Amino acid sequence: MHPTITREDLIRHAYGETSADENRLIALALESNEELREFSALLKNTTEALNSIRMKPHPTSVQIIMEESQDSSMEISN
Amino acid sequence: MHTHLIPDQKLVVSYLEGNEAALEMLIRRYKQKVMTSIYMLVHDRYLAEDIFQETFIKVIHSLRQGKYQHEGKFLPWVIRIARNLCIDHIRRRKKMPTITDSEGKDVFGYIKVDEPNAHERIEFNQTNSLLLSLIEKLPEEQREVLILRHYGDLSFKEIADLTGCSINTALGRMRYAILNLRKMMLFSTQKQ
Repeated sequence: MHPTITREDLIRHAYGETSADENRLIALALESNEELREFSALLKNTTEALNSIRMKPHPTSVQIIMEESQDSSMEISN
Repeated sequence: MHTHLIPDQKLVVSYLEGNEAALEMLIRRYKQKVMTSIYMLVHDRYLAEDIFQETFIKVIHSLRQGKYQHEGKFLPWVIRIARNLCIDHIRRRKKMPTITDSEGKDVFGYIKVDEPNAHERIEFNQTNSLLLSLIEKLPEEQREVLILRHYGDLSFKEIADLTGCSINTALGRMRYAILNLRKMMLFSTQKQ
């Protein structure tokens, strides 16, 4: 008998935290368990939606960081 | 140039050898994930911008002081720094007295700040905007796990260590975050 695959296992799988053996068990479980398939689909939709949220810092922020880097580099060399 | 082919560690070494462009590449590589994580933790665009700067300035000083031990994990390291700064700011904000008007409203709520290039900074559509507002409504512990795992690239073990809970608890929080997001999404689409 296969060990029970949980929703938490699917979450670890979605984020690449499962071993090759676990991946095989998950694939088998998904074939036979509709509830897990539904959760897997939800997980996929959610991660895709989360990927679509992208915030960018203002270019000035990056400029300030780079200036700080140059200033601190000069302090070290002086 | 395929800058993404250069491993983070090589860029770190190159930066420490005096190549400023290497730092810029690292910032360019991770700026969206870092900014998104910070914004989702503090829910304030201006504060998020300040913390983004503070985070990378701290990164610079820590790198120069040899405090970064590379284990293939540059982004999670940056996110840990950002998270600590967010917590500091939130604590400080909670201690700050609120100045209210005669009707009890926060006077700082009246102050309008110019918002340059807002559309460049957030790639928004209606769904994104809704999702962002739903993430803000998640219980803090669930929201934190979701942000640290999805945007910060921390493993559940690292999240458990950082937040002082077990791996199972971190995984459970993630599961509830996903289920709660779906529940809230269904509720808000039914309302429309």
